[in-house]
Formats: sequence, C-alpha cells, structure tokens
Amino acid sequence: MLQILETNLQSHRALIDRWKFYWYILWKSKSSALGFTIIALLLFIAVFAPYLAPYKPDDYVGLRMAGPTLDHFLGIDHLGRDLFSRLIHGSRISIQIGVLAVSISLFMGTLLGLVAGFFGGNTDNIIMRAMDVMMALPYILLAILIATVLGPSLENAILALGVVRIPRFARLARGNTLYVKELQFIEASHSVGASSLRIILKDILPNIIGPIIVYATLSLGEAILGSATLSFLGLGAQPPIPEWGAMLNEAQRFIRIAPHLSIFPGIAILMTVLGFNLLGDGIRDILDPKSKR
Amino acid sequence: MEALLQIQDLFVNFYTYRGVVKAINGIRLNIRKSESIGLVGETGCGKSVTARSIVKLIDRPGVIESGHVFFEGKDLLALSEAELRKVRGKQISFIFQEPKKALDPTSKVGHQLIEAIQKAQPVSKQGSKDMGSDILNQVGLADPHRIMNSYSFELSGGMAQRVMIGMAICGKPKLIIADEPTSALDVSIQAQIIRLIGNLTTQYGSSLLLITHDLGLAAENCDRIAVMYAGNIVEVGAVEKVFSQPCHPYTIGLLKALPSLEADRLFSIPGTVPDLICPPPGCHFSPRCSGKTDQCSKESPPFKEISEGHGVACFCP
Repeated sequence: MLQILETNLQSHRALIDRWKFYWYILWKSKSSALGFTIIALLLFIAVFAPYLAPYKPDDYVGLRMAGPTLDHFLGIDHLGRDLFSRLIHGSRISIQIGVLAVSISLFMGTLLGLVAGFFGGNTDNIIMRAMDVMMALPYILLAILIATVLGPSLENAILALGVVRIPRFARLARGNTLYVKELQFIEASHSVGASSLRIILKDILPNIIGPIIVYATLSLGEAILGSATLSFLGLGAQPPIPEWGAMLNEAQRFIRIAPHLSIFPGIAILMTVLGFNLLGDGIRDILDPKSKR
Repeated sequence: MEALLQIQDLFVNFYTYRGVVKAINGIRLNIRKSESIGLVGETGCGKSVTARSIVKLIDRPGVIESGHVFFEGKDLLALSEAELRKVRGKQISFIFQEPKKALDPTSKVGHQLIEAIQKAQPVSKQGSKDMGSDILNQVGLADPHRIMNSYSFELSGGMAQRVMIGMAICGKPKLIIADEPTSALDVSIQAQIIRLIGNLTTQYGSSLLLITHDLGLAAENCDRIAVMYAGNIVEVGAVEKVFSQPCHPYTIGLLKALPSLEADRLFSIPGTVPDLICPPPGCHFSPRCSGKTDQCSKESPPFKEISEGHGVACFCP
C-alpha cells in the first residue's frame, strides 16, 4: 500500500514538474511570454468587465465625440457612450466569437480529417475534394457569402467564421492521421481486436492533437480578426453590441473629426490577434520540443 | 494430435505499382494444440504476411485472394470484421518485433495493459488493475506500479517487450503469434524473452507460432519447424527431423550456411531470392538448386509426406 502511495506521489510530482517545465519554456522566449501576458490580461478583462468598466456600455455619459479626458480617458463616441467601457465589454464578445468559431472548425475539421485519413479511398476523396473546393475560395469571401445568405447577426458571423476554417483543420488532421495510422502501435491495436472507432479516438486522436491545438490557438486571433471584418462590413454584430469591428464600422464616418474612435478599437483588435499568435508559437514550442529554431 | 489452426491453400497478393507481388502461394500449415511451431525463412519470404493473414490483418495493397484458415472449426477468413475482433487479442494474440513502436506513445503502459485485460474478460476496474500488476510480475517486471505509470519511451526495449508479452497473454489466448519477438532486442535479453514466452505458453497451454530467421532460436524453442521460401512452405517437420535429416535443398543450404567453429569459409546458397512479381516457373527454388531436373522448372512440386509428420515440397528429396 505504501508503495502504491509512493508511486502515486512520484507520478504526481512528475506531473507538477512537467507543468513547471512548460511554464519555463513559455517564459524563456520573450515573444511567447508577451503573448501569454496579453491573453491573460484580455481574459482577466473579459471576466471582470462589469467591474472594470467605469460606465455601462450603452449609457449616455457626456458630449458626443469628445476626445480623451481624465474622466473618459479614451474619449466618447458619436452617441455619447464611454469608449473605454465599450472596449472592455467588447473583449467578452471577441473572446466568445473566437472560442465558438474555432470550436466549430476544430471539432468538424478534426472529425472530417480523422475519418478521411483513417478510411482513405473514396471516403477520403469525397471529403477532401469538398474541402479543396472550400479552400479554393479566399476564406473571408466565403465567410461574407455565408454571413450574407444567413443574414447579418453575431451568431451567423460566428457560424460563418467557424465553417470557413473547417478545411484547414481537416487537412491538418488528415495529414497527421495518415502518418500515425501506419505506425506499429496502431497495427498492435488492430491485432488485439480494437474497433475502428476506438482506434481513431483513443490511439490516433491523442497522437495528432498537438499541432491541432497550436493551429487552433493561432486561429483564435484570425477568427477575431475575421469577425471584426464581417462586423465592419455590417454583416456581423449589429449596433449597439460593443463588438470591436462594429465599433470601427460606426467610427469610420467620423474618422476626420474623431480619429480616436477608430484608433482605439483598432489597437484592441491588433493586440488581441498579436497576443494569440505569439501564444500559439509558445504553445508550439511546448508541444513540439523538436521544432526549436 | 488435434489441430488448433489449419491454414489451407492460402494465396496473398500485393498490388503495387510495379506489378502484382505474389507474396503467398498456396500455403498449408497445421498448428496443433499447445505446440510451438517455428516459421523460419529469410527476409521477404512471407513469414509475417502469413501470420497476419491468419487474423486478416492484411491492409491494402495486400489482398487475401483465396484460402481458408480454420480455427477451432470456423473459417476465420470468412468471418465478418466484428466477429474477427472477438478472435483477435482474446483467442489469437500477437507479439511484435519492435515493442516500443507497438505501444501507444501518448498513453501510459498501465492504461494500455488494463484496457487489454478488460477487453479480454469482464472484470472491474480495480480487478483489472490487480490483474495487471500480477501479469507484470509474471513477465518478470519488478515494481509493476512504476511500470504501469510509465510511458513507453520511459521503458527499455526488453521491458517494453515484457509488457507486450503481458498484454498478449492476459486473455489466455489459444494461439500466440510472435513475429520476430527478439530481433529488435539486445542479444543478452533475447534468451530471457524467448524463455519467458516459452514458459508462459506452456503455463497457459497456448500454442505458439514463432516467426524468426534465427534457426538456432527455432531449434531450441519449438516442437516443429516450417521452412518458408519465396511464398511457399518448402519443408515441415519435427525440429529434430528437419535438423538431422533435412530434405529440401533450401533447408540443407540454410543449415550448411550456419556459422560453425570448424569451417573457415561460410557456405552460401548461390543466386538471390527471386522477384515475386515474376517468380521463376515451376519450383521457385529451382534456379538456385544444385540438383534440379527438367521437371523442376516446369511444374511446381507438390507437398508430400516422406515420413511421419515430415513433409517436403520437392520432386527429388
């Protein structure tokens, strides 16, 4: 019994050590540390938005289009709302969009890629040719198309952004599946009578998930950027939702007289996308120690 | 003695871009209950393909063209995939050549072992954990708790092979197929691993199909031996018989080619292994055979028994 306890303790310690090691790798590189900091800050802001924001996002607080002052230090928008508070509330929306859209592409793409790679033959051909057709169109155009057909709303924008990225995940998953399924432990699994479903989910998926997670992190930034684009074009979030892209859309009319209304949401988008990209690189270094440059 | 497994007229082809590789040409082989049989032959002669065909583990581009594999009366090749899954692992299990590659690198060894146990018999989670420790003890691994908490890359080759053996025997299978179980291991552990497989198969009353290219290994551990050449079984018999009175010229050549202390030059069979895309007509060994006749290059020799339990595929043994 004591021995069991001891080994449990040992494996527990090994686990802690492993996380410490990941932490070390993440902080060793300045860029991934910066990315991590930005994203941590963003998450903090999103979680505590109502407490951090000095005003409600939709309240009239003062003179329209006033520049930054001490009370409203990012200024006031064209409807008299506090820009700083709106940006803070907008972070929630952006994270939602990113996570939901990427979840759709991650789930569907990985599933399709696994099935195509594992079964091969006609299954593979049908799935991957459909993916190729989707890849042939620039993805933002495809997203605009889907969002237009479904009607402009935040939900539809998320769906559109999720769908257009499915092919990328499918390709990534399929490529790695093709490699992993030829390894000997898969044959060993077959030889003990494992079903295809079991082999796909328990043997192949854990072995291909690393690069997919990295790609998902990088996609978060792109999905947020994509949603800003759709909203800017009026196809995504509709006013008064404080979505950053929608704010840019409203602000462009006043870019000459109130440039701060365009600049600050732009910076927010830039920082978020940058943060996710840097963090994604950091996670890649953790998950694939051999890719050291 | 009663046959556990009968392979009858098995043909396996591989459809490659270069052409159709006729990997197995009508093999017949019986494996009896609780015997160990060695399948020897050089690389590429079809040993592994034969073993995998038994439980239909042949993937594209390989195709099992025809033949039967009777296992306890039912033809495995006629079973559906779902029925075959019940046979694999539970009744016929495999031990592979490279143990570290045969274990999933992303899950713990104990997890994989417990899964194998649970697949083989209905036991509770705790029960299967205890059984797992027992089995690891049986295969000679001290400190089973540490092993179960390790990943495959944390084990040495010998340890990993012991784990694989544990996974192979945990369902008390009726037949264990060991595909060159020691080729990837250190010479110093080979004997231990082979002895372990031998002991466990005797203990569980399982039959053993040992695939190897090491004649000495087969001689020491098997009751019977089957010699393969270019997709055919050319000679089958009790180990003593085949080694003392080899009949097929290929077997004779193989035995002569064993290094010995007296001879200063190693004997080698002239010629090379035939290309199985266009094998030589008649007996596949005829181009390399010293005693070939006209008949040899026209017809393929039938398999005939020359004495009790000793068969050979040659016109003039």
